Amino acid sequence: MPRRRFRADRPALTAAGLLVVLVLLAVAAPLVVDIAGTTGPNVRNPATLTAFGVSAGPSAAHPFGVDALGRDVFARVVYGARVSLEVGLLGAAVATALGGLIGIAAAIAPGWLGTLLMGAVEACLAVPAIVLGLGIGAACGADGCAAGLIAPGRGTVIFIVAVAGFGAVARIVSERVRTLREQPFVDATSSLGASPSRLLRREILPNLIDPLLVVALQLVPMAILLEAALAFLGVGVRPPAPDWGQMIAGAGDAIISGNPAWWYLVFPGLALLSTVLAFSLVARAVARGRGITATSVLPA
Amino acid sequence: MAVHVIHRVLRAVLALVLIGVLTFVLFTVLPDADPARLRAGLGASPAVLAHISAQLGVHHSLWVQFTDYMKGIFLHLNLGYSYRSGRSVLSLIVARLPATLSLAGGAAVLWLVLGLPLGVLATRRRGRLIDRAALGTAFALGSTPVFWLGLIALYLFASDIGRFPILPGANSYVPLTVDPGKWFSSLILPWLVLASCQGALYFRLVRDELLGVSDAGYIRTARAKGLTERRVISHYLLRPVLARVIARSGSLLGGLLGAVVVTETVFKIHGVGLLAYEAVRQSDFPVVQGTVVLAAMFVVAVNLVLDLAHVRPMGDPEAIAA
Repeated sequence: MPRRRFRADRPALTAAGLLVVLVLLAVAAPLVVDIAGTTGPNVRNPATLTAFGVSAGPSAAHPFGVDALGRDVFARVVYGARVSLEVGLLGAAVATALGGLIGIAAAIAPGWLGTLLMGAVEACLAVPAIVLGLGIGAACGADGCAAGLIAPGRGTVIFIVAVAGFGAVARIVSERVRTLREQPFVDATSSLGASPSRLLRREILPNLIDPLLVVALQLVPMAILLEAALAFLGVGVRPPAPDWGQMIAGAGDAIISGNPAWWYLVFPGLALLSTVLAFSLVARAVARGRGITATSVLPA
Repeated sequence: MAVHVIHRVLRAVLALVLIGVLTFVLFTVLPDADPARLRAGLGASPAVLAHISAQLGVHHSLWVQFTDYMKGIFLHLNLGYSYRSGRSVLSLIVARLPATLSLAGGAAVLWLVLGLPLGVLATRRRGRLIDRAALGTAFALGSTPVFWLGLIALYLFASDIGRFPILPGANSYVPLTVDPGKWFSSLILPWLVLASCQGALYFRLVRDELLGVSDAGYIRTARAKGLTERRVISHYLLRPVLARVIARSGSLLGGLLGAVVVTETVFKIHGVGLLAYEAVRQSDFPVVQGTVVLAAMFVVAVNLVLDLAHVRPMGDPEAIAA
């Protein structure tokens, strides 16, 4: 039934197809760039700039044009998918795992400990993700954090996504576990003499899979947007590594200084927009297929 | 009722204390960077570094530093002093508040005026062209990075660099008290950008909530007893929906603050967000820390007020039972 409904949802199906293409592009980035016949993502080609430093627009050799340093925008967009997907998928996975554990712990721990855990969750949720990202970026961006455990760059970004995302997961999971424990079928099993650990494994956990899957899927687009916004603000992946948020930041600098180079603003932005949109549509379709209304799980 | 209120207030207090702990861990325990070096800047002599370390209290045990920090925040509202300018962080933030409030407030008016009626209209024409077009636009806007939309807006419409130079662009913000006309015109583009991203969220929220209510039994009863459609919408549909939208807007607040930071950065509006952004660039820990603490406290306070307000006048029995 869920699968059939997913197939009937044409936007979601298109989105899923787009995501498959995107993953293939990211994995085979060197090959794609080779086939397109453009220069690599970090190759600076001063010949593509005019004497005044204005870069060349889209052409046969550079389908998306080149940026202010003469680097091919197409190659950078293709390679940029790697960072977005990595941070999005890995960050969402870490956040879901962490949030799931803390949520279960908060629900089954004795009263005061549960209150304390959920208080900590609420405190983390209160810090706006981007502000938190700026904070962690400042704290860990200079020389790393926790004696080198969280290195500046990609590690910091995944850490930020995890801290920003685990709270929502923990809240959903703990509420869900509390409701499940009141259910007659759990009562029945427990009065038949099942141990608490058996109850958790056989009765509670299987019922957590659907909400966890949905919330994990919803975290992916949020994580990708957060990564891009932070990269735009100068936190996270370091230049010259190709990254969509950073490319847009570079384009912004150029445009504000009067350079009419729309192409390296537009293309990475469209890539980002369509990736986030595709993940959101798939997440919504999966949520609906499992009978969970999208907004009941996560705001935004 | 009273128990519920006390319980809710205590939870907020716990959250505030834990925000203190969280920020202390984040900015004092975790970083491997030496605060004295950041404060002193490059090329400081060892003597200067030692002096600053003593001043910052780095030699104290973590526990002493922690209690000093918590006392500073909660007893004296002291968020520390900027590494760069030496001014108190609180005064820096307060000086930037009017710009941030102008941006967020104006955008809020705009997205509420656009988002709510559109949500109602789309629900009335459920499944028709206007509903699908509005929903598709809302999805696309909700997936659009604010900073990108802002740059596109500048590229198209900014008076200095735009293709169609019709509105003041980046770095044109003027405080309201200086020149109300310029204040207004300089904020039009940022308002539109911020409101379109936030409005998309509110539109979807209103639409989802309306769809959830519109099949309820009491709506059918209201129609069956012959009330006009206008009255059904205004009294029976919108009231509970607006109450829920207001209650849930608390959880959208964090996203709004983030979007404000980004919008301020793009349009170079000298608000709290731009302050935090500049502080990150300069490794000015106390200022970043201060913005994080105040933003989180603000969110906790607003959510507390919304939750408490939600209990009584709107009379949602679920909220009382929870």
